[in-house]
Amino acid sequence: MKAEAWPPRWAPSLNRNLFSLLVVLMATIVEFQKIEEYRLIASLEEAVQELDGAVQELALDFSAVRRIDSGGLRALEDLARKAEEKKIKVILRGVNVDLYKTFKLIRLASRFSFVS
Amino acid sequence: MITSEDVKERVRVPLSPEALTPERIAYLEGLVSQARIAAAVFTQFTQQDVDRIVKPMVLAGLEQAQYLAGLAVEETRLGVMEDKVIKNMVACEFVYDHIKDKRTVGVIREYPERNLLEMAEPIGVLFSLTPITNPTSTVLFKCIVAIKTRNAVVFSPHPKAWRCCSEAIRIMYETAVKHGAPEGVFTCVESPSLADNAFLMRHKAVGLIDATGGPGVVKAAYSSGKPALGVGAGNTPVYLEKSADLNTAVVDIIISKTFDNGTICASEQTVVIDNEIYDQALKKFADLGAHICDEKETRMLERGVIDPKTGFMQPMAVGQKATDIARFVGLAVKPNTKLLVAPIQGVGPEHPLSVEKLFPVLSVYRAKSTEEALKVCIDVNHAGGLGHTAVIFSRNDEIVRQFGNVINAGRIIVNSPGAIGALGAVYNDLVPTFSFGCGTGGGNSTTDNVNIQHYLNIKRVARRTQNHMWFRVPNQIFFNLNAVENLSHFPSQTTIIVTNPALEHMGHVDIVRRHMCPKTHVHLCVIPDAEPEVQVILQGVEALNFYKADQIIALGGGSVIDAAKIMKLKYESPEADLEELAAPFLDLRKRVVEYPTEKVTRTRLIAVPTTSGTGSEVTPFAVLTDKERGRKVTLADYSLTPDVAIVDPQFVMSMPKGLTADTGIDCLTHALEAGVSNYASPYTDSNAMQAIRLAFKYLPIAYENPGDEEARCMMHNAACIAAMAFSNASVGVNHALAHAFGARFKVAHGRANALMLPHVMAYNAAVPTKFMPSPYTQGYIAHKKYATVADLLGLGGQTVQEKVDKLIAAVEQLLDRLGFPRSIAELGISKEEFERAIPEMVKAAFDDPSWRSNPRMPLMTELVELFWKAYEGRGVAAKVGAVSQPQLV
Repeated sequence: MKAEAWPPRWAPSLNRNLFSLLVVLMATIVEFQKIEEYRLIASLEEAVQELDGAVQELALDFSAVRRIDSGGLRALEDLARKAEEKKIKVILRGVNVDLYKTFKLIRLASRFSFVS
Repeated sequence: MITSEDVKERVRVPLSPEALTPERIAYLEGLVSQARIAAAVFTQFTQQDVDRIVKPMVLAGLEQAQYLAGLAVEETRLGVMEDKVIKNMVACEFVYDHIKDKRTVGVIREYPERNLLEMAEPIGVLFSLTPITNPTSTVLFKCIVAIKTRNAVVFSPHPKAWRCCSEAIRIMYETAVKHGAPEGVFTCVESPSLADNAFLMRHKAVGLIDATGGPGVVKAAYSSGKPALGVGAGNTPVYLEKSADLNTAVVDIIISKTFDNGTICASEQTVVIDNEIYDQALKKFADLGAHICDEKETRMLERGVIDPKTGFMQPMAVGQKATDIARFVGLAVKPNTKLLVAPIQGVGPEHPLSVEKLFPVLSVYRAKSTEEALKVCIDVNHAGGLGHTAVIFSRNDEIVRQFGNVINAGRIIVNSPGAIGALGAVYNDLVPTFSFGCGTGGGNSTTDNVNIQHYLNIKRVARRTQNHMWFRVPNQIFFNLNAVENLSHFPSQTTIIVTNPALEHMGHVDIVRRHMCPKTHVHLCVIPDAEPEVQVILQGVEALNFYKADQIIALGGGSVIDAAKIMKLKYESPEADLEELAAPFLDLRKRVVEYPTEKVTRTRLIAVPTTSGTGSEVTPFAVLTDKERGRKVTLADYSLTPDVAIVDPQFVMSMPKGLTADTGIDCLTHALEAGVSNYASPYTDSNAMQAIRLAFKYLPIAYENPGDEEARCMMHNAACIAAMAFSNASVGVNHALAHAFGARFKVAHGRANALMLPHVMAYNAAVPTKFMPSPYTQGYIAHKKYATVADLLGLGGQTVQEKVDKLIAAVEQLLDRLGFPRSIAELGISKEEFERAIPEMVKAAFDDPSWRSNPRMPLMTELVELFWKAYEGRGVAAKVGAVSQPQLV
């Protein structure tokens, strides 16, 4: 992942397959994960698994996701519910406008933080 | 449809969803959740995505039309299998034909000439109730329309048609999902109950209820607090008028009334037949397979098919064959009887068969006149059929229109079968549908045939529109010394010269006469040297009529020319109501009153100004004094503009100093106000700027050295040029104030303008408390335009504000040089008297159309403030930085 938007201290993620990085930032452990449209549900399920670790924030990069289907939305709802249970903040990055509207329509948008 | 069962249902609905168990609520929530997610996913689809899904759905519907029709008849025991196949096919093929090329995603319509776009927004989740009478066709229709519009639907079929409907939904759903539709786009409530419906109707995720069915569910839908399309009962009157093609009419009625055993709610219920063709019509019905009931049989039928307690049809009769109904009520009819025809003598509870009958029983009424026929049709229409459907068979267009006028029905079907005609696209160009909007008469929100447009939120993207502007001036303007010689170019039999006594004595009239065509009969109309009053105008019109004038020459100042304009108006259009024509307006193009265009006579108006200020020779305005109300009335219309203007400075050489100053400042005010007007354009700006330059340069010279020919000539031109600017850009708040003040205190117009001018300039140059809405301007630019004027005059200054200050100072200096009083107090008007006049003046100023183009919208409190500034006067330039309004940069 490009590092310019992030603080300088990087640590490799435990899950290399997901091209993710574990970032320790001012005592906050951040899991950063890229979401691919072609394996959207699987990516989100893996993200859900990350919630069981020591992560305090989960950042998901949606910049490669153009469109989401019903299964993807359900997986995202599941992720939101579990993150809320564990009080883990989920940040979605690079969500396009159409996706954002879709999230808004099913009241998912308020359950995440967004960065561009 | 209304059956006696519906009446019971109506008593129970709306039901409280509290009767539901937690498990049932969880089940219903699950259905809605699926639909909600599907609807959200659907918003990402393009038009191509949608169209790729719709076509296979339609093909699947056509493929399964017979199968679904069979299921429907088997389950509901209503209707005719063959007809239900046709209905299923119409729901697919005809609806597809209507919608296939229509846009339902993104931009759906463009109106480039109006700068308007219409864009589609899906509704989201629809809750849809489907009926027992047209179960599968309604489902097919709603599924296709929902996908085309990117909506998800939770279906609740009529419990007695649930199996066939759920099968139709399954077929549509599987086909749709196979071709890319979101999962969960259609769901169907299992074992639906009224409590389920009540719960779903109130669900926050449901965007629209589409209720096709009995009045109970329709009423529940409308009572839910959600937007609803509710389509309920009908009671279709038919007028079989004596001019009709009887063969066609009777066959069409039989086709319609027997189609699917009369289950379509638009089918014919009571046929009102003109006496002249009544017997013949009944014979044709009988010949074509109808059984005509005698009085006794009619009574038997009434007792059998209408519930005596409720007055509505018995549900067991709905959708049954004529022969089965006959057998049930004990009528002996031929085995191939298609229809039971029962003569009735009126409409209402005493005539049970006059209500809706969704089975092949048709009532007929013999009408002795067109009037009686129409009245009976109205009665039927009001007996449960308001807003739904009506039918007329007639070749008399006048009667068809009269029928359309008196009958309240969303669909008035002419010379074709009611049921199939109302469905649309088969017998006519109505939009194909299986949901008939019945308007407010039926408690519905629309009278339309429900289709894609009702499943969409249509958004309008309205781009800023620059209205056309104009630059209109008289056809011909002659200027410079001796321009009056050009009068010889205008032949006339009889000319009236409108002038005032002073000008006649000065010999100006003789000069004019000398240059007119030799054979012209010339008469003088000498009016007082004051702003025209109505009485003076009417006397002038009398003279014009007496001499049958074909030309008017207005020789004088603004008052004379204005008087001549109004005389011409009244002479050409005697009906013109000056009071009405002076009505207030906001935009010239949209104002309520219209100036007369039909004229009893045509007259040429030539204006020869003898002052250099009003520019009335080229303007579309005329000011009239309303003596009774002590105010000035401004008429404005381009038809008032003189045809020819002769701007000859020889007529102003002898103007006294005071008049030179007054009229000169009027000219400068016109130019300054036109320059910052919201209607200003490059065309008017060029005139306004040139007039300002000429006035600043030549007005002091003409004032101080009246014999200076060049100065007189240039000021005469400046007045005309400024008038061309304000004729098209209008003036502003300065004129509104001056009109009100001048009329109240009898102060000359130019002088009143002068008292207001510096204050109004400072006011316009500051940040407005309220901006004036104007499509013509881009941002607030009045202060910048004043700065441009300052540059043009070479006044110096670095910033916009400095330049504005310098321009106001230059105006102040000019006013001083011309010897103007610099405050209203200097005129000898006491503070108390002025204070008393303020409310009336403010009202008059606010009513004055002059300020409508002012760059800043004046608040009444600001008008009061401006009047007081003018009262106290002097030193605006010095005080500019201290005025209450913040300054623009």
